[in-house]
Amino acid sequence: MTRLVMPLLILLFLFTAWLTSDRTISTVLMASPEGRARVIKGDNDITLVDAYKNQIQLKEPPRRIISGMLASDEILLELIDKDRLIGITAYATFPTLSNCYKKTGGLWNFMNLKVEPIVAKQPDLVIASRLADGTIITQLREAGVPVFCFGHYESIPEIRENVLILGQAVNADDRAQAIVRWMDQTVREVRQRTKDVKVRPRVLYHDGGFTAGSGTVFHEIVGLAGGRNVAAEAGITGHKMMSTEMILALKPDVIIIPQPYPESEDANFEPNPTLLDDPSFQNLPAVKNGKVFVLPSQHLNTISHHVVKAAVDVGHSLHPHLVPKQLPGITYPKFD
Amino acid sequence: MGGWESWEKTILFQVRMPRVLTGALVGGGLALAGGVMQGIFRNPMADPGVIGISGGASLGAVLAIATGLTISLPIVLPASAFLVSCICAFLVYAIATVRGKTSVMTLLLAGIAIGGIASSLTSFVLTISLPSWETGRKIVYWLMGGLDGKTWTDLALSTPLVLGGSLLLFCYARDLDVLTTGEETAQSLGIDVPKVRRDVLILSTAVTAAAVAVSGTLVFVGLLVPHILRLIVGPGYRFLLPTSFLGGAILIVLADLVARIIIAPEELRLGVLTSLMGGPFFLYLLLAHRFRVESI
Repeated sequence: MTRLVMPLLILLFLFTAWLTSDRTISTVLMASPEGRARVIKGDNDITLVDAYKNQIQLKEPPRRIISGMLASDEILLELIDKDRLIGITAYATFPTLSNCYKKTGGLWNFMNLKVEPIVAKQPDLVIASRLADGTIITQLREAGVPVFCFGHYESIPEIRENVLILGQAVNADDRAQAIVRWMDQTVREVRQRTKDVKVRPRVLYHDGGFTAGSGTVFHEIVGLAGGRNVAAEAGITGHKMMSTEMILALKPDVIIIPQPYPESEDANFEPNPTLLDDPSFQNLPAVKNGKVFVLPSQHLNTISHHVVKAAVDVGHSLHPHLVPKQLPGITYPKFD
Repeated sequence: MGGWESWEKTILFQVRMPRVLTGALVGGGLALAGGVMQGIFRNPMADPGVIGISGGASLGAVLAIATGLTISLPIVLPASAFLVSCICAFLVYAIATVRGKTSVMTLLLAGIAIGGIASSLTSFVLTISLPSWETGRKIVYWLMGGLDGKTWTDLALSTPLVLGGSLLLFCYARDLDVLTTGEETAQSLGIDVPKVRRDVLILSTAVTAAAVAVSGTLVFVGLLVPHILRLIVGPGYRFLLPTSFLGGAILIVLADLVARIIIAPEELRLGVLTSLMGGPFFLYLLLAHRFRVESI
């Protein structure tokens, strides 16, 4: 008996390995995105391929869509009628986070994707982000719910592409094109107006101790709005913690703090960033010269098309004489 | 099932069924492992959690999750949990054994020390994986222990090891029964005590590792169930082991039901619930056996 224990155990392990090979278990997180999402148009149907190479075949435009990320809430509420959207995130209803909270009335919303309520709604398309819980995505797929996961949204071109893909997925190409045109115009205008500035101020993004280095949308925005991202120059990539010492050593000319305004478009509210009261910050050029700007976080932090509004916000803060608060001649597309 | 909508069937067969079956398997395996450990160490306090096996299994599993190896090869999760918990178990066992005799007091203390080291290494792995918060979040959630989101694949991952290991352990019931009469008696009756201990320890480590790998840490199950059942079916291991498996299965399935509905629509973590049940019971055991522990 005792001689058999180890061989039997090894057999059990091998059997388990065979049983579970090429399957995904719930304990693992989502893998890194494997490629770009795309849409393949057939004769009578379209096939969505998400960033994880999962394929979803749609015979007709989806009519029961559940959106599992704030950005897709913001985009879809522009693209399609509300009655085709049967669920959105709760974040979409918060005025301090969302660019679409005014349109969310009457829609079922949820904080996190959960298997049972979603399966019960029988959606024909669920949109999720890379940060979604891999467990839940696996279970939804096993339950036959088509889940489309976005994998990339770290730059304006990627966000632009996501808008177009969603447009094709829900059969709202025209509206998606109009939104993308507005994005392109806005970006081009801000870049055009700031391209000849002689002094590009050194800008620090400061969000509760975190900063945004290279490879972030903020980095791209500062670049096109006529500034330099000090965090990226200090070698930081992505969103990272930054110590007070490092901020003092970098001596930024401008500090940008994202802060939700109580009302999305009401900029009269002037929050008082505690940074200004911190004695150790008093000698920073940004603080001495009054160049600490509190900008709407729903523009700075969104990964929907509204992100280009942050380019205008930042451009206006850095070069108020070049970039007005509202760009003349560019209007947000209005539908219906 | 004619009147059922297809989504209701989906929930039943794809969500609830694997969850309940995984729960039964994990509960049974942990309870059984606890039962046999109390037998081989002849101590009521022995339990995979107390002697450092669960801690080792957690460390192994967290390492597997953090390195991302489990994405392509699920078997890495229980295998890594098994390897690390084997190391922990045998360290504890080796420390407590002098010239073939195992001191129970040293065993429990070494278990605490090794378990502590394993759990601080787990925290270390967690700390270095926190910057990528998807990994960090997954580990934290897994550490709290629970059965939500278990799929058929999770069941497939744990079934052969837990069931196979348990069946092999049942074969040792007779040896364990003899061991209750004392090591010398067992030895004189022809039982190779160190060998039996080693085998039972390896098998129960495998069962624990496979269970912990899918459910996260659920402490005290292995302690609670065999003790309650000893009061009902008596101390004979031939009855105690199968009934412990069943009892553990029932306990975890019921506890999971409570965890799922008690604060609906949110879910209580199962690990939180089992700790809240098992902790006081462990203290009760400590108090009830106070004089025996002191005399060891």
